[in-house]
Amino acid sequence: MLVWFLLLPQGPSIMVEAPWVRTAPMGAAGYMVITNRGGEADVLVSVNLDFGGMAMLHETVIEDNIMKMKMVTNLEIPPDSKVELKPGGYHIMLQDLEQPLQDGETVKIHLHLERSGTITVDALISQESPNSSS
Amino acid sequence: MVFSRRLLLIVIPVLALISITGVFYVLQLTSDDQLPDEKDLHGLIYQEPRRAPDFTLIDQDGEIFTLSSTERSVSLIFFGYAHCPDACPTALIKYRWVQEHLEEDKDRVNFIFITVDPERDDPETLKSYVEYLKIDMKYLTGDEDDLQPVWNNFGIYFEKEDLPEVEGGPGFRSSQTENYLMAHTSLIFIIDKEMNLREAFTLYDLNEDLLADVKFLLEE
Repeated sequence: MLVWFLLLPQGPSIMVEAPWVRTAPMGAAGYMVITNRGGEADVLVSVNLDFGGMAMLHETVIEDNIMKMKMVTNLEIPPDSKVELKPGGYHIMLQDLEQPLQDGETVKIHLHLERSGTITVDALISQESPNSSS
Repeated sequence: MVFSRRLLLIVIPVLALISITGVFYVLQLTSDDQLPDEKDLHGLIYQEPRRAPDFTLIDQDGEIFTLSSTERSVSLIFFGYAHCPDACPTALIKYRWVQEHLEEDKDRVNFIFITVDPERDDPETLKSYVEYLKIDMKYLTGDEDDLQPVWNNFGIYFEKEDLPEVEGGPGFRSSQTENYLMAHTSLIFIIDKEMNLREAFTLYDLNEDLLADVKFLLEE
């Protein structure tokens, strides 16, 4: 058990996979899988795009069949685990964007992490998840 | 003589027990037949289906829509708003999936989306929303006086949540306070061909189950 822990890299080691953005008539939502292969947690504190607009981390939660969107100010990525942003769960809420998003193109999303700094991904703009399951 | 009497004392109660058990067994079978929903439907079933409350609202083309005009077809109803970025599109994409898989039965099912945000959801907004999603559906709005009884009758809860001012980073500006989010009941209600409210689905239920139930209610 102890040996296994020693084998993990010191500090967090963040990787972002399958980033995509689903456009809706009045805004869009960004999704992705954030994996931390390191031995320590990191925290996603904010996100932004290259152009103006609102980008905020939210979580869709259902309490008593009421859907609420809770703003998430700090999203912890625990050590040796992954956090998934997907429809009906965590997502990056995008609104009032200065540039329109076109299906089939990509958009850069800058993720600011407390310890790992800024990670930039090219998210595919699509109506469906680029993964096999929708 | 004694032997046969004793035998009768045993045989008769046993026979009685068997026949009583038999009667119960048969009753059980027939009572199962009277409750098809338990086995055939996958959502949150209304144990005592009640007639869906009628309403008249305006659709995205500015035309009057009355629920009772949908008698003899199955209707799905979801409540939400156009500025909803994650949950409402997720629900409507379920609509689209079911509609695509209904094939020739498509015209016998009504896909209805009713706003909880009449302030921002005017017919023009509704129209571009429906066209964007490419679903053959009715997106309904109206005056708050017309919507309030509909919200009440379906037990819809919702409230506005102001978006907080957010600090900027590079290429980022704070949100306008005109924007707000809404918390709202997120069930897809299903109404059968006789205008009875039968069950409700959550957003996390399977598309396949939703399709199966719609088909079941079409053939009932």
